[in-house]
Amino acid sequence: MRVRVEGLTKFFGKNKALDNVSFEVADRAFTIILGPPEAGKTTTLKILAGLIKQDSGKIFFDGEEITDIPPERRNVRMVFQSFALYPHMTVYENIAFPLKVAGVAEAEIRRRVKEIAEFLKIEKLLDRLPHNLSGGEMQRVAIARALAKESDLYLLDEPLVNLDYKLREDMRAELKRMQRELNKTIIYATPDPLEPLAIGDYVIVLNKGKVMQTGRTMDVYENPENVFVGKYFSVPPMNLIEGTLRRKEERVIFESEGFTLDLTEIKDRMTHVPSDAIIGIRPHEIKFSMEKIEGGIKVKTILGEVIGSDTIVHFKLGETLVKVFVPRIYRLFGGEDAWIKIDPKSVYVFDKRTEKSVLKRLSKNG
Amino acid sequence: MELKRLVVWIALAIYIVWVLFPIYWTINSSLKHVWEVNAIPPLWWPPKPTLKNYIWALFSERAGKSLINSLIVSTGSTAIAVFLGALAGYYFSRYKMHEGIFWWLLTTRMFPPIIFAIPIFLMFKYMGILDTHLALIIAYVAMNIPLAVWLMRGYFDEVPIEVEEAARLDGLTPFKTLWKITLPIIAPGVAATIALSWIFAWNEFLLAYILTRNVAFTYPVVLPTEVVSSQVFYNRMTALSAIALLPSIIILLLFRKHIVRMYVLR
Repeated sequence: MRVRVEGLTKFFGKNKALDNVSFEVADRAFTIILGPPEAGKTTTLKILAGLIKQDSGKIFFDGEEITDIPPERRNVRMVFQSFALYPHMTVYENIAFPLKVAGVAEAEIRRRVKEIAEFLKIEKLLDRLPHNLSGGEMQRVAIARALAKESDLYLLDEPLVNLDYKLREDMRAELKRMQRELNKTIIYATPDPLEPLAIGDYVIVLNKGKVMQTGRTMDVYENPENVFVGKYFSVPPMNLIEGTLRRKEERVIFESEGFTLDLTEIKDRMTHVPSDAIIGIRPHEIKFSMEKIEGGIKVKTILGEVIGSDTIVHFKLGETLVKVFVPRIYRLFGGEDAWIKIDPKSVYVFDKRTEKSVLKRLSKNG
Repeated sequence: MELKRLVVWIALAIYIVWVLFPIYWTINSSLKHVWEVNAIPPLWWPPKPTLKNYIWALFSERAGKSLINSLIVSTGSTAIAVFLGALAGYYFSRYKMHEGIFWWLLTTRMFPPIIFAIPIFLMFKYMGILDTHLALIIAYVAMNIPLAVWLMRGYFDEVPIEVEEAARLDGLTPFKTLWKITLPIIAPGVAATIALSWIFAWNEFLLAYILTRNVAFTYPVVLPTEVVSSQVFYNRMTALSAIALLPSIIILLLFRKHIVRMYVLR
């Protein structure tokens, strides 16, 4: 099902939860709404489901406006962040409930619940009550209940947030497999930028109730339109350095306190050259070495965060704290000499006044 | 340490005797003949136990009918108060914007009932419903609604809104969601609210005394009136008391867990 949202605005009291939100979701795609807490992700999903009424704006399912249709007649399935299982019903009854309401015959309900329970590997839990389940089990039951009744639109609200790290990785892969098998439209809200990168076909980045950017996941990742998307949709977050851009004859030089960078190489990609600029560099795009790099910049380390077999090295570039991702272990204590090199082609340039990107899109879209 | 325990046990023992003695004396007296009740020295157990006081309490024109009246009035007022209380409690739980009204509603329970008794009497007299079951039911509904709203709101607060939203998406209308999902989840709370409202109406004396006379009188009104010429029938009174105690004891035992929780948490 195609979903189109036009100018959604929603206030909770004086607090504007959604501010003129518009986007489109492609049929049978896995679309991720990415944003920090309070961005309006849950509100958006609940408005799509009809559980919250927007103050203004319209929603279209397959081109048909459904703004005034109550939730029980929209046939949208949703997995809630808190799972929202019926505490007084067994797992079987929870999964069977939407079918029972729909008036499906008892034998058919039994067959369907069994099938879904097998699909999600929860056959052994069917007689239990929700409070006897672990977080991962509850999550599966919540998904099972959502899947029990067929629909063209599934909404998942941070379904992995309440799970521990290992389980989250497994479930993420499983969700992607599930979406391929279901072949239905899924909209999935998450605060975790890893998730669109891992499983999303499309991404909608929200912040403070506003759409920051939408598009194909890799397109958005490679062409952040503003500082927020650059920084947030990046793991670890993008390094941002404030400074000024100067034209010197044919050259364009970025200058920050105690740090300059020649950006002439990407001059042609800039729509204009703002004098006050913010440049962004992803931590893994910076070349790092403990030995001297020809044409590199010498820096003093502050510390090294070892994560698995990688290290995130902190150092100061001029006055700005910068982090670099190094795919090996460096046990650093701070104060060591090191060299870095920045490839201008990997640098993002934003106008400081508008916080918007001044770079033209890269043509090689993923 | 041992001494401390001993002191605690003795204190508890005294307290238990203090609390249970009146009940013991009620039962003791209810099995006596009228001339044995005030015997000196007191009779700690009736020499010839008799059930005739209980037969009087259950089947006599006045006492038996008062118990039936009490049953009708308690049950009727509880049904209405809990139904309305559930609806209002649901509203106050889900839409937090009317806290003012909620608190105002609660304060109506803080006033001495006698303040309202006279205007209620005058109103009911004007309406011509004095000495009817309806009069007492209306009065008790008014008094029980604040309690019912307060308790039900607390129980509804414990059901996450998302559980109801899930039910909406599973195909239920708002009213069916309340009926098929939310109320079953808080069924123990509803039962406890019913129990407390019922006990309140069952125990009420003041309004019953003022609003009834020869028809709708309840047992608390009859209880202190069993006086014939200069003879006070304490034995009959205590038999009626013992019977009247029963429902409260049964209800409290059944809902002990929920009622304790209610008082501890709120």
